[in-house]
Amino acid sequence: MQVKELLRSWKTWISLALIIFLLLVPFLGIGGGYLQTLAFLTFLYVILSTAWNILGGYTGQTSFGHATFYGLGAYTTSILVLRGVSPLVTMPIAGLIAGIYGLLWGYPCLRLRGQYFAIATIGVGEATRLLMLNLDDLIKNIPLLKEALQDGVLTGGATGLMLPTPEDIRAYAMGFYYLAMGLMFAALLTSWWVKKSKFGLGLFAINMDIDAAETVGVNTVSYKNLALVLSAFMVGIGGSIYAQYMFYIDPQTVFGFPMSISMVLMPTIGGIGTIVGPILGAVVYIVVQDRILTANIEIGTFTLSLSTLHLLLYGGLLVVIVLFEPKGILGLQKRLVRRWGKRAIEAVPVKKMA
Amino acid sequence: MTIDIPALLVGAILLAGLYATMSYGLALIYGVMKIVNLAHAGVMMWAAYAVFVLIVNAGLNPFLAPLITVPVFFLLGMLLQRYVVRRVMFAPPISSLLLLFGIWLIMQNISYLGFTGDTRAITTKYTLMTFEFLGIAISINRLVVFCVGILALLVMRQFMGRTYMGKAIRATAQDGDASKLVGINTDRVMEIAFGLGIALASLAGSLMALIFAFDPDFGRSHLLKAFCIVVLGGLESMVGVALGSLVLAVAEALSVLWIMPALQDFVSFALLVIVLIVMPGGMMGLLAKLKKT
Amino acid sequence: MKRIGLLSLLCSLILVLLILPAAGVMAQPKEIILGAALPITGGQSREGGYVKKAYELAIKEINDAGGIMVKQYNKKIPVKLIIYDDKSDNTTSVQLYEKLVTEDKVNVLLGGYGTPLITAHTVVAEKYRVPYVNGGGATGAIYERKMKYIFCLIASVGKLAHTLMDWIGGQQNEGNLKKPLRIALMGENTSHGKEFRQGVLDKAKAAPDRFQVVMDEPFELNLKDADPLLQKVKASNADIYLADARLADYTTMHRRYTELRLYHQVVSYGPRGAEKAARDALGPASDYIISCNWWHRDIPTASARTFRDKYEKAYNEPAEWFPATAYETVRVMAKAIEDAGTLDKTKIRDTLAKMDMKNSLVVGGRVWFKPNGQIENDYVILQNLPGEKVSLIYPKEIATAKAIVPIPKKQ
Repeated sequence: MQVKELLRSWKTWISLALIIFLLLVPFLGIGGGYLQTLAFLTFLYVILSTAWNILGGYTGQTSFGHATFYGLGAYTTSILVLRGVSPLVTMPIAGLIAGIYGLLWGYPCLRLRGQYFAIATIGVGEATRLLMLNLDDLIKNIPLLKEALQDGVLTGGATGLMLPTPEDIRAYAMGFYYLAMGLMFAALLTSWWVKKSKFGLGLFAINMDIDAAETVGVNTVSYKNLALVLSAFMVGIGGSIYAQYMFYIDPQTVFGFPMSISMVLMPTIGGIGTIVGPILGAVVYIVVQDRILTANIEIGTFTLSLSTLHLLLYGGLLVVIVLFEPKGILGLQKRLVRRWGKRAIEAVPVKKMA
Repeated sequence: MTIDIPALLVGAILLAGLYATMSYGLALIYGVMKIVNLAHAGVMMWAAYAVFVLIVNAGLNPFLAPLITVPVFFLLGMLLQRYVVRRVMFAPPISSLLLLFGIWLIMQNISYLGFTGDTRAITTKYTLMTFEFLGIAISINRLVVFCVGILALLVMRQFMGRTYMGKAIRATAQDGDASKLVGINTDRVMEIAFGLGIALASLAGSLMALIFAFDPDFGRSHLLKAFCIVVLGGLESMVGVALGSLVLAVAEALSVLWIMPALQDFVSFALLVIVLIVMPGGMMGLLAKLKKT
Repeated sequence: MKRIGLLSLLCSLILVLLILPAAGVMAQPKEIILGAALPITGGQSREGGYVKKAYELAIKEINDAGGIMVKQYNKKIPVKLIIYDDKSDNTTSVQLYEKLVTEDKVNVLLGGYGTPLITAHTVVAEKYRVPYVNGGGATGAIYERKMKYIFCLIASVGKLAHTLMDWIGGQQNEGNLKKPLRIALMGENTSHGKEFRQGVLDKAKAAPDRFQVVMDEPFELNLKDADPLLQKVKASNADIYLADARLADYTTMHRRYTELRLYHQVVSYGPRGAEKAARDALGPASDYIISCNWWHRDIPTASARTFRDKYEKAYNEPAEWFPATAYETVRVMAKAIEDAGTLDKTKIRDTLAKMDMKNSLVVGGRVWFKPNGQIENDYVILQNLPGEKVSLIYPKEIATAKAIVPIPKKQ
C-alpha cells in the first residue's frame, strides 16, 4: 500500500528525477563541467550541514566549534596518507578520531546550557586551531611524541599539508563526485533514521525542555553526548573528503571560526531541525554564493559587481531570516503553503452557500 | 638571559586596561539582556574608521575624537535595539547570535565599500610618546586606554548603583515582569542598556585605532579575546571584566617565561572553556563564594 | 492540494534554474580571456586590492594597443579580464578557479595572492592544464610539486632571507659589523614567516662563526601586545633584530620597539619597511630600517620607472611591490601568447617554460623560469633614510648609496 502511495506522490517523482539528474551531471558537462564542481561542494556541505543539525537542530545545542571536527578529519586523512595509508581507508578513521575528540570536550561542555555551551564551543574551536597550528613545535622535543614527526612535520603548522595529486585528476574528480554523493545520501539517511527513532524523539524532547525530558526518563547526558559524537563523526568524514579533494589543507581554513560559522548558517537558513532544511541551506550557501560572488548587474552603462556586496547580501539574508522567518526557507515555504491552502478551503464553502 | 619582569608586569597591567575597555560593552549587553553581541567587533571597527576620518581628514585631536563618536554610537545602539534587536530578545539565543552576526557582516561590507580593504593606521604626535615610570617606558596611548578603562568602570558603577536608570537596568535584568509591575518602562531601559553597550564598544574602538593598524576585518580577534575575558570575569559584571582582564593579561605576560609566545592565545581559550565548566560564575562567582565561607 | 504541489514544483524549478549556470555573455571566439580570483575581502584584502589594480592597468594598456597579436589568426585580439573575490578563503579560491576554467572558459589564468590560497588553487590550474602565472605566492614549497603549468614571478621568501643574511655577511667582511653577530629572530606564524625564519636559521647554521641565533620565536597574527616578545628580545642581548611581519603587526611591534628604546645594529622586517604606509605608521622611527624586497619604486631601470609612473598616475598612490610583480605577470603572459603564436594552452605553457624576457621591471631585468616554474632572480635591499627617503643599497648595479651600518642610535 505504502509503495503505491509513494509512486503516486509527485514528491517522489521529482526527487527521483533530481537524483537521476545528479547521477548524470559529470557526463552532461553543463557549464563546461562547473556544475559538477558546484554539485560536489554542495554534497560535502550537505553532509556538514546535516551533521550539525543533529546536534544543533534536533538537540538544540548550538555549537560554534564544529570546525574542530572538520579539521581533525582533514588532518587525520592527510597525515595518514602522507605516511602511505590508502586515502579511502583513512575516512572512517578520520570520523572516529573526530568522534573521540567530540566526546573528550563534549562530555564536560554539554553540561552547559544554551549560550554558555555556544561560548564554550567558540573557545574549544580557537584553542584547537591554535594547538594544531603549533603542534609540531610543541612535540619536537618530547621523546615519545616526536616519533610522530616525519621530516619534522606532523601537522605542518602554518604551512599546512600538501597531498600528492593523482595522475589523472579529472577521472579522480569524477569518481570522487559519486563517492561524495553516496556519502551525502548516507548522511541524509542517518539524519532521517535518527529523527524517526526513539533516540531522535529523546533529542527533540531535550530540545524542548531538558528537565522535563529527564523526568520522563530520557537519559539526557548519554543522548546529548551520542548526538555530539555522531555529529562529530559525520563532520570528520566531511573533513576527510575535503582533504582528498583539495590536496592541500591549512589550519586557518579547516579549523577557522568562519568554517564553524558556515556550519551554523546553513541549517539555520534552510530550516533548522528538519531533514530537508540543511539541504536547502547548503544549496543556498554554495550555489547562491557562487552567483553573488561572480555576477555583474548592468544598469545602463554602469556595471555593478555583486561580489563587492557579498557580505552585505549574506548579512542581509541572515537578518531577514532571523527577523521574519526563524524556521528558514523551509519554514517560509510551509507558511506560504498554509496560507494558500487556507484560501483554497475557504473558497469552497462560500460558493456553496451562495 | 633574564627578562625584565617588572617591565613585563607593567606592560601586562596596561594591557589589562586595553582588554577591559574592549570587553565592557560585551559584558554589559550580556549581563542585562543575555544577548551575545557579535556585532561588537563591527562597532569597534566602525568606531576606528570614524575616528580615522575625524583625525586624519578633519584634524581633530585624537583624544577628543571619542567625545564625538561615543554619543553617536550610543544613539545608533538605541535605534538598533528599538527597531531590530528587540524582536529577538525572547527568541532562542541562536536568533540573536545570528542576527548580530549578520549585522556585523553588513558593517564590514559598508567599510569595504567606503574604505577598501587597505590597512589604515593613525599616526599622531602622541603615537610614540612615552612616559617614564621607574625606568619603564609607558606608551601614552596605552596609558590613556588604561585610565579610560578604570574611569569607565567607576562611572558605570556609579551609574548602575546610584542613578534611577542604572537601578532600573539592574531591575529589568533581574526580573523584567516584576520591573514592569513597579512602573519601569522596560522597553526604554533595554534600549538604553544596549545603547550603552554599543557606546562602550565604540569607545574601545576609538582608542584602539590610535594603537593598532586596522582594516574592515578589525575587531574579530579582539572579540574572541573579549569572550575569554568576559567569561573569566563572570559574564555579567563590569568589575568582573576588570578582574578578568587583569588576570588574563598577567597570565599571558608571564607565560612567555615558560611557553611559546605563540601559544598565549591558546591559554586564553583553554581558560575560557575550563572556567565555563568548572567555575561558571567566573571570578566574581568565585569571590562571592569565598565571601560566603 | 494541487496548489501546494504546484508551489513546491515552482520552488524546485527556481532552485534548478539557479543551479544551472547563467548563460551570461557568450564567450566571443575573438577575445582572449584572462582570469584570476583575488582576495578583495578578508585577511589579504590590502594586497588583493593592489593586484587587482595592477591587472586592470596592464589589461587596459594591452587593449589600448589593440590587443595581443596572435599569429595563428593573423590579427590582434583584444583581451578580457575576469576577476573574482575569493574572500581570502581557500575553498572559495579553488571553486572560483574551477569556475574560471570550466564555465568562463578562460584561455589562461593569472595568479591570486597569498601562499595558502595559491597553494590550494594551483591544483586546479594543473588539473585542467591551463597556464598560470602569479606574482604573489613566494613560498618555495608551492613549486616543489612537479607541476608543469604553474609559473611564478617572484623568488621564494627563503631565498629572500638568504640574500639578506648574505648581505649582512658582506657587511661583516667589510668590517662594518663584527663577527659573530647575535641575532634575535621573529616571524609571523604563517608559511611566509616560517620560511623567512628558516632561511635565516639555514645561514646561521652554515656559518656559526658569523651568526648566532639567540632568539627564535613565531607569533600569532594580530598582535595585541608586543611587550612579551620585545622583552625577550631585550633580554637576549642580540646585535641584530630580524622579524617577518605584515603591515598591521609591524606597526604594533615597531611602535613598541621604539617606545622601549631598543637598539640593534641592523633592524629588518624582511620585505616590510620601505613602503609609504609603513613609513607613515612609524614616522621617523622607521628611519634606517633595512628591507629586502622583490621590487621598489626607486629602482632606476627604465622599465621600473615606466611602470611606477604609469601606476602612480593612474591610481594616485605610491607603487609598492605587489602591483609591480602583478603587472609584470600580465606582460609575461601576453608575451608568452604572442611568442607562441596560438591560443593553444600547451604551446603557451611551453613558451613560458622557455621564456627569457629582457627589460623587465624585476630586479636584474630578466624573466626566466627554473624547471620548477619559479623565477630565479635577485632581490633589492633598501634602507630607510630620514626625511621619508629611501636608498637602494644592493645590488651594486642599481645601488644609490652605501648602507649606514651599524644604524645610528636614536636620541
